[in-house]
Amino acid sequence: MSAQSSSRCDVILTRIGGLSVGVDLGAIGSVLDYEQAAGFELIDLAALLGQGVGEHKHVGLLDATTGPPLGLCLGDVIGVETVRSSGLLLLPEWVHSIGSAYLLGACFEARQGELSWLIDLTQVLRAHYNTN
Amino acid sequence: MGESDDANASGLAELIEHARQSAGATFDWGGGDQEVEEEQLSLLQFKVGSQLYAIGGEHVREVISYETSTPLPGAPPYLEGIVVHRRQVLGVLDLDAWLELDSSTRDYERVIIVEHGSFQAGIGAAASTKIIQLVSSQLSTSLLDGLPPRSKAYTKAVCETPEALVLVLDIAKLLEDAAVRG
Repeated sequence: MSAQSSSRCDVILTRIGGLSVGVDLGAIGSVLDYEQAAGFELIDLAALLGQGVGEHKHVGLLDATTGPPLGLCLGDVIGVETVRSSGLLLLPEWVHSIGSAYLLGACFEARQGELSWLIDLTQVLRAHYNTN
Repeated sequence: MGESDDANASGLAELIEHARQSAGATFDWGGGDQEVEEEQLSLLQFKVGSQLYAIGGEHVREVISYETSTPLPGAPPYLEGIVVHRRQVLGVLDLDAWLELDSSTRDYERVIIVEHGSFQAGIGAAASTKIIQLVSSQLSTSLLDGLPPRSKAYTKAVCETPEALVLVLDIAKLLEDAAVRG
């Protein structure tokens, strides 16, 4: 996550399948409607998280410096949320290790107390470039 | 005291020393024909599906109410999900799934927080948890052979209570294996 200060970070809060997910806002250039992303190379976050092929309303344009425009299918974006370090809930190491490789080792309580997962974009991009 | 008394005193000292050595570091003042005391055990009994289990009290940190858990994406079926208790994230194990037993219903109403070394986890359980006091002779290993293979692998002993057979779990092995399995 790109920290605005060492103690907080803004994330795009989105719903992917049955999951509430936070994606580092600093890595996303802009958020488009899915239809606007025609012709983009897309990463399906729902599939990576084992949620099946997702129905996406929004796509986050990743700040790719080379190659074709790269979008991250974001499901249904709810808004932006500030995550503070004091609000992070650290996953026990063994829990983190048996979950998806695309999750960071902490989650946070988003709106209405719902637990939201944080996406490890480094791993997402690594997986994307390794398979393309 | 005469010479014979001195000899007698010396003999008593030898006798005491002999008894001390026989009994270990301390002298046993209780007489010669005591029964060997059985180990007293305090276990937490709980139910998952139709099976009763028990865990040594030294491994149980807390029993909390189960409301809901949040599924962890990509997790194997034996991880029911996570719960947050006092701002601590706990992985909740589905014991039926871990032991590869059929389970039609998950009637969790409690989470038993267990610990072993650095590992902590929750185990989903039905509401009926209670402490049972046993002596070691009430535990049997002869019935282990009748258990399904995975149940046997994680059961230290079996206890027959008026209600049913209770499987005493080897929670140390279970936690270590659950944590490294992924």
